[in-house]
Amino acid sequence: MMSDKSMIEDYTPDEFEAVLNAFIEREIEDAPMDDFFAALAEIDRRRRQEVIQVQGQIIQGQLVFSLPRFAPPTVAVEGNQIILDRIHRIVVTLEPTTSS
Amino acid sequence: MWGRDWVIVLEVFDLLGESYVQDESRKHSFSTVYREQIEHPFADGYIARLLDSEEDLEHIAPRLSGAVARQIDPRLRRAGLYDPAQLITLYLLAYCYYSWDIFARGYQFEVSIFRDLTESGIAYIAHDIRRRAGRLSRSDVVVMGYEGDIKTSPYFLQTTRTKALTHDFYITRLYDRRRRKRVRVALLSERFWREIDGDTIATTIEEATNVFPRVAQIPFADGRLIVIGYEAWKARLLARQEGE
Repeated sequence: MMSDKSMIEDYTPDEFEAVLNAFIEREIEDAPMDDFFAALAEIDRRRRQEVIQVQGQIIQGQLVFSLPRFAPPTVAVEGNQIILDRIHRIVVTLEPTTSS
Repeated sequence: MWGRDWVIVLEVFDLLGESYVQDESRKHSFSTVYREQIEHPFADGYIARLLDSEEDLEHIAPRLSGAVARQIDPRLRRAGLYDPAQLITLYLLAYCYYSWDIFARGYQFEVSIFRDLTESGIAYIAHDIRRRAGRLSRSDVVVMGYEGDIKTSPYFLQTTRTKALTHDFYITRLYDRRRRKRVRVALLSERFWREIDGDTIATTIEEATNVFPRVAQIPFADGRLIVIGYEAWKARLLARQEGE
């Protein structure tokens, strides 16, 4: 059933309850195959374009990374390490500058 | 919906999970409210009844899941977290309904796959879904030493949006519009595919739908995924296991 109401606040409490009941009782919904692969392609495309700003600070002589608040969970940091996909660890160390 | 719309819906759901309601004592994120008020008290009982039932899952699961869903509203009201006059709590209520629905249908699907693998004579190790600790295990199922995950298609997309695909195989279910039927699909890592072997058709992610039910090889992230019908995957597995 199509509804002309687009926001939750458009519904009266009784209507909202009816929507939730219809939601519970609906048949299983699987993603249509073409939509599924289109969404997967979109996810892949976004991942490839994503730039994650990692910040570094020197704390007591040690390099310590931090991530922005909404960084994807596929990226983590631990001290001077950046962990990708919970598998790959990039360890960054600072070399002392050599005077010429 | 188009691919981009799906992804936007999934983003909205994740954002809702980070939203919060506040009472006198503290802030409660939607995802925490859902876990504490709905999933923790009801999940074990729901799954135990699914596993112990000999009824058709398509019949019993909606009944069991619906019985829990009907407790969401009164439970949140009693906890002082739902008041129809407070708009934000309407969103919380909807979030809890949706989250429970994803959870309940996900385990219904998982149990149906376990039953089917058993009936098909596939040797596998399933994680213990009766307890939360087991449900949080790294993988849902292990076949021939390869770790796999079983997910409904909306939940597969939801997790894939924010998590890397680190398993060797994924079992999901899609709706095939052309054939007008639901189909179960396996997505395999190249590593696992090499074990069971066979020809693939290299294509783009979007075109996999046109290649199916032939076996497609699609690029994803830094590697490739093999897309194969679940029945064809099982037949190859069985042949491989019986040959061992």
